[in-house]
Amino acid sequence: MKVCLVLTHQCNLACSYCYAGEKFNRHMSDSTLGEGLKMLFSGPGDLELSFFGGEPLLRFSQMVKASRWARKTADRLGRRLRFQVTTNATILEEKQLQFLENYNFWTALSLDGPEEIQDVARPFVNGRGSGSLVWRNVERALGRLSRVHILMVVTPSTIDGLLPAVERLYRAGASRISLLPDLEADWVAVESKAQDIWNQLARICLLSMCTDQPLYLSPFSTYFPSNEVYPSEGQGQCDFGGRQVTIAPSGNLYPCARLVGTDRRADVRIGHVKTGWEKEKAETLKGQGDEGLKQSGCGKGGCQCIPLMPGDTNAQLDHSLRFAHWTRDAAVPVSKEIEEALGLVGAAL
Amino acid sequence: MSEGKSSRRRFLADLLFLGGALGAGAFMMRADEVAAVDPLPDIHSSPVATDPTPIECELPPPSDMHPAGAVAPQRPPELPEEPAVEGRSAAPKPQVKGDVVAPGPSAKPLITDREPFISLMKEDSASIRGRVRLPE
Repeated sequence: MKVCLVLTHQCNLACSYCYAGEKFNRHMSDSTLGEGLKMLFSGPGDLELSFFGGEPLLRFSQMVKASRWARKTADRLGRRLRFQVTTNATILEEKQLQFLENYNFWTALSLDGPEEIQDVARPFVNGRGSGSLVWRNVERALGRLSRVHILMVVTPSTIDGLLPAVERLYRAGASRISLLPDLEADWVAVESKAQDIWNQLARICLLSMCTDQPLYLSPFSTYFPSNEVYPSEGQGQCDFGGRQVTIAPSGNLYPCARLVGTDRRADVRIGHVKTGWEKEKAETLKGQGDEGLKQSGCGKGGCQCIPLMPGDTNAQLDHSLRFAHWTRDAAVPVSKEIEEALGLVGAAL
Repeated sequence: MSEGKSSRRRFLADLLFLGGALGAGAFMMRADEVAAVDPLPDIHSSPVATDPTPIECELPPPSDMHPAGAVAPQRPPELPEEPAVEGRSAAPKPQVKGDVVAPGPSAKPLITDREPFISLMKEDSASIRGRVRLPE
């Protein structure tokens, strides 16, 4: 069972592309938080408690309370539990780092590029750049925490800084980076450049995976040719419409954190903490998501929330498909090269 | 990161990002050559794995779940019992401040407003299960 708590709609950054929409001062009450935790423990199997926002670390003390209670309860009930947080890395002082370290959090840090790019792409709400602070915090977190995952939104205006940023992150100790193309942006003007960078990154990722210090760079890393010598690990699974739920500050339930937005879309809600989870509605949304992906040509394995996002979903699906093709075209040749090289290594042995 | 691991990472970063378009075979040979003379204890202990993270939702891999009560061998599960971070700097032993500090058994707890959580803790799992509707 996975429960994601959106602790607040408030954020201290003002990223232009943010799918969470308008930010405002609405926080999750302790009562709703308590209901969310009960929901987590009422579900079967292993447990995952995630924190999302807005910026969840603006509600740090609440996050500590919830984690502490969940840890104790999991221990008492003999349940396995892990924690996850997605943060913009602006509020990572000693006490936050120690907390994340002590609770062995999976910590997803959002960062879009070198300082000058981060300043423009992810400014504070007052317009000041966040680059210098965020890089300091990210590099500190990479040196301190064992489970850091970097999330980089890639836009036409940040593409130039992508390679230098990935290199810097790898040198600082990053082993897991996800590139998330802005699917609402106009990529036509930079298509050739973007493809070239995609090719370089695919090679870097897949070659790194032949070493003892791999860089799992999504979306390329799934193309690594696993075999008996290099076995594949299991993949984390999104269980959209299944045993995962996101709880908005109001207590409304959603099948995915991306769909919460400003919490005004009744069509993608699947219940409320006080009235329970509408399983049929969740399954219907999953069906709609699958159908949207199928029609766009994305097929299975795509993200079911995309067809349900606000805005021009057809354009988003088109872009999604385009990036999937770029990724395949960039990764497959390197993957084949590695397969051949592994064959040579096998023959020599 | 240990000094050995750090040095190895610098070498690999140079190879990956500054090494030009090395072919896969040449890259592996070059990476292995240096690995062979670099006495790092963890080299090749887990050489390769595919990305355990899905493209779309960026979830953590399932294999990293710790059993209840075993957050990490060196760390007890609760913040009040946490040792401060050790050996990371010459600075005074850092402590979590504010609402995550555990000053000691006789001190007043710094986390306040715990009623909802305390009441939850009194409930057993059966009563919790009975109060929320979930899918089969």
